Amino acid sequence: MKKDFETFLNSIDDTELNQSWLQAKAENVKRKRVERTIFIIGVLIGIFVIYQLVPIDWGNIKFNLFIFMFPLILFFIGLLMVWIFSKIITFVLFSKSGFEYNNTYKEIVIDKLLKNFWDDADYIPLKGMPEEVYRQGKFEFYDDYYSEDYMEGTIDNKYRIKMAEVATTKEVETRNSEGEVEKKTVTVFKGLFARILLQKSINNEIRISSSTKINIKPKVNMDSNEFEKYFSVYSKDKIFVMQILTHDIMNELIQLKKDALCNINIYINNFNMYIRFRTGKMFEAKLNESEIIDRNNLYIYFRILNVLEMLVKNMTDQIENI
Amino acid sequence: MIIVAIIVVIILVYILAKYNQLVKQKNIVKQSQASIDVYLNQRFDLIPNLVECVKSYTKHEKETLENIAKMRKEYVNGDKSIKKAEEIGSKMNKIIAIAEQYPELKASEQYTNLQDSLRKTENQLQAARRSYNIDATNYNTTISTIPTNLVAKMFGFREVELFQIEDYKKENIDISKGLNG
Repeated sequence: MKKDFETFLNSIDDTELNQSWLQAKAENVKRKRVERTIFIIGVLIGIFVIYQLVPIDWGNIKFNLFIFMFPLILFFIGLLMVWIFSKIITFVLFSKSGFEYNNTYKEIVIDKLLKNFWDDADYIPLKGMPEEVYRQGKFEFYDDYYSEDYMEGTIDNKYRIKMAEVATTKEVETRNSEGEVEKKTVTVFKGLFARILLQKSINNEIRISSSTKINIKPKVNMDSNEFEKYFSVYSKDKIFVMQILTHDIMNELIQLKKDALCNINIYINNFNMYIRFRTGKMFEAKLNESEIIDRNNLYIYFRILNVLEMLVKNMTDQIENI
Repeated sequence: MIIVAIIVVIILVYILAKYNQLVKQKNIVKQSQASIDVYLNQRFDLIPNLVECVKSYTKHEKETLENIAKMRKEYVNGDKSIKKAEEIGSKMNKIIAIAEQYPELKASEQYTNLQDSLRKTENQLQAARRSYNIDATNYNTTISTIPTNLVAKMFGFREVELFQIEDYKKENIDISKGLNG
């Protein structure tokens, strides 16, 4: 039986996680210290260089914007570079325990979290969703695909669910201020993706999206202004849409959208239902120095899975009734 | 003179564009109405089966069962008004409500299948009505807002009637009235 968040959190045995948390915490302290040292050295070098480059006669000073601003801008750019450099260096030198903590967190906490929702959940953190499955959702065009945190399970002993974190990127061409074409990699989607196998084919397709960026035709007008504030619906069959999206279901979706705090895309086609949440990174551990398990971070994952479960339940019930 | 001619042309083009928009919207409404007719026919086609299924259990309701069969015939042969359709729909629901009071009838396979078909067609019908109401509301809004209302008046476009879905639903669940109510 599904536990609420508090009960779930209390039920986690964190003894095994404790050791890696302590190591990661110690490593984090070291990392911060090294970062700080590199930064201070950078600042001192910067001040020295500026002092050497800009000999200011303090006795006979006149205000000159160029003399003051140019070295100052250079100084801040230098500081930014030192900061980035310190982050890279410390990441390379001090990330082993952090990785270990993350892996243990996934093995213990995330596995348990998924099993709280789906008893038979089989979670494989290093495996990804096959790209072919994601492509079937016809969400967007992209160039590169990456996936991890794969999970497979059964909802209500009826519907098979496959779920994973997915990230897609695309190369775009932009023109810089000098009119030259520059290639840039942009993230198209990063978040949770799930495919649910329905028991009944709907012989139709419907797309429900809370993102305003997509432009697919034909768009179906709905008889709820409130619902249209949050979602757009696309399908060739208006009557089918009305059958799926009853007033009760629309109200549920609005509530779930509010709970999810991120964009939701749903695509139903024949026997498949594809759901996406634009959550950003999912199931990663966040190191909190006062708690072995970062409560707020875990609650975000819990809330998203709860919304997913409710969404699937509502939609599948409705599809069964048609 | 040229300025006046340009203004006249602009007005004519505007009227033409608005006229086309109204025709397009009216056709969408007609299409939605046609869908309702299709689902209503599907639903009313179940009446003979319903009557057949119920009559052996509810012999004293013979007159009502004959009455609904007659009403369905009238609907199929001509009077396809919303009022008539709702009248038949309401009668059907009352028969179903009464049938629910006969456990043997309720348990029969024929009745269960019939109930399933009725539920499906009712579901589709509700959806078609909602779809119609959305299209009809869009059309009604267009012809009643300034300045399209002037073009609508000029060419005789009139507001269309909406289905009062909520009232209809209420009537469906009011089983206390009995068969002859």
